[in-house]
Amino acid sequence: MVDSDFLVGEALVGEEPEIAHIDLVVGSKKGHIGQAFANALAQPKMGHTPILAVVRPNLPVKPATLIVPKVTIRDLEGAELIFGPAQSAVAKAVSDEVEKGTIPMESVEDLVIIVSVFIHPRGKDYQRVYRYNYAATRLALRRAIEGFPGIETVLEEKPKSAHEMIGFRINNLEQPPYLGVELEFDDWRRIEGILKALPRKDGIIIKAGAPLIKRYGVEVCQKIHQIRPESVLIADMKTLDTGNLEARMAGDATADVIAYSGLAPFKTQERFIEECHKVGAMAYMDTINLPDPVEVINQVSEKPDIVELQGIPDQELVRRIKKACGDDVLVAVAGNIEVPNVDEALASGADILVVGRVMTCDKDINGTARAYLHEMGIYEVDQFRIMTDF
Amino acid sequence: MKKSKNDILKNPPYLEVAFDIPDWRRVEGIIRALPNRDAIVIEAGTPLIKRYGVEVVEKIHQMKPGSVVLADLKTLSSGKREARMAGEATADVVAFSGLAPLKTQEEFIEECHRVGALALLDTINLHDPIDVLNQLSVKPDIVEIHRAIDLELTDAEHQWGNIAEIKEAIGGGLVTVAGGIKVPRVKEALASKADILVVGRAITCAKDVNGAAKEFLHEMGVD
Repeated sequence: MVDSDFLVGEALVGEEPEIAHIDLVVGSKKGHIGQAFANALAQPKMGHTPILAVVRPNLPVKPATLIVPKVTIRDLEGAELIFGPAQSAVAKAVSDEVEKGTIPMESVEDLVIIVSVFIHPRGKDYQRVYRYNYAATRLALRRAIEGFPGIETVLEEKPKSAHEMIGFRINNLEQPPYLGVELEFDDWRRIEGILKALPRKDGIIIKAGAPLIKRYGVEVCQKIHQIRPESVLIADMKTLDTGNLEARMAGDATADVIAYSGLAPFKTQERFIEECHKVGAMAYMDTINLPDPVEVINQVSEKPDIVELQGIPDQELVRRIKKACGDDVLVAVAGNIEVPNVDEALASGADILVVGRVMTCDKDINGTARAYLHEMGIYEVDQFRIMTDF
Repeated sequence: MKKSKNDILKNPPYLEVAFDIPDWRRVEGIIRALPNRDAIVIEAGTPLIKRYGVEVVEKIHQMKPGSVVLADLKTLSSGKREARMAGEATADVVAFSGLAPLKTQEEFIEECHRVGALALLDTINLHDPIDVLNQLSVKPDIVEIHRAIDLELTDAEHQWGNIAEIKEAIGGGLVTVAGGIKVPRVKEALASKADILVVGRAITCAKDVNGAAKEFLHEMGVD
């Protein structure tokens, strides 16, 4: 049944505080898991004593299953939750899956399972602890055997997922088009007003203009992220010199994308782009006053992740830029393109529209932004999807 | 008291101490250690400004009220706004990039003059500065011949060439030379008609900041 040495499964079921989180591994007694099983049993750690799952006292389940508490057990109450409902829930789940054929009857003596069980110290309700851990163990076991999730699922879901505790997702701009809002003013109070007026949408990204950064320092990025934690933020450093230093500064100030000038010496550009990638940011090439961006891109050994052009470009230029960057680049179009011209801009192959005053100086910032998003056909990630577990 | 534009940088040569270290506490210590001389100009480098905002110029002036402070904004766009910002933050000299669109440069220079500051054109990566200077309808007060710090790593050649020609193109302004000048090269730089020598790490990263600065001043004959 097991091709590789062992299989891994995970599941999260239930509501807090009794919520059950199961990580488990299942594998051969003769392999690594067998060894780990014996080691865990022989060398208990304080507060994390492993116990065998039992269907009832004196009746351990098959395959032999070791429960390892994730959270340190501090008192008798915690011990009772693990040695009571959790222990029996896991055993019931494993035996039910054997009965169902998920684990073939003939291999139960060859296999062992290690189940890492999470029980919140504030969990009280035995009913919930029992049912949640039963369900989570069955699900995790089935997933382990089925090899869930396939890598296609991981790649499909990766740009959509937001960790509940962080409340936002790292966005690498994987699903263009995006609407970039350029903050050209150097007055924080005004910026704050604009940021609050903009709709909270995944399709909106924020660009902190060079004057804003020079006025308040690059820390302004962090202040913007405090207001809109989920938004991708472009720090327009317009770097001409000391490429790595400026990229690092902006990255440390939580910028997701960092902009440099294509007029800078090639060495500066290369060091800038390398540094962006070190700090996990994307490098954004500004082409203001640059006669031929493609020529510059061809001459630098590191390629930008985004290239910004002024005004609606012709399709040929966009195509050449994308080709010069190995077709792994987004093209942003700046220059206050108005709503009626959005289609034309997107038809040129642009992935990001960067608008400034045409939106930020409008009385109805929110309405204008929505008009752009509508025209661009941008909807929320997963807005219409009913999700239970992933 | 703030000096009027006409009084700034009247007696060259000057020693410009450049701070490209984006760490205010270090910068503060180094500025305090510098000798109090009229011949010293303090440059707030681009990374320093981008890190803390242009207000650092005012903080420098609080420590050294009499000093000429240069804000290296390396402006590429929004010329007017950036010049105004720096002027309001009490910069005496404000630097822009000669790579910017001509319109941006002209607006920048005009705005500098409105706020009573000198405008400095930075020639970083500019292949033909004379050509740009000739095209500008208003000329900068100072031109900086500069090599990018990143270039210093590979390109050892000094580009001090045509200082006289540049001065002529701006109708007799000042020329600043930057790029890893060390004490033994001071005489050579001054002989090439430079008015301001930009020194960065040779002073700011020296263990004895005061001594290093004095050594430069002495070699320049302004000690």
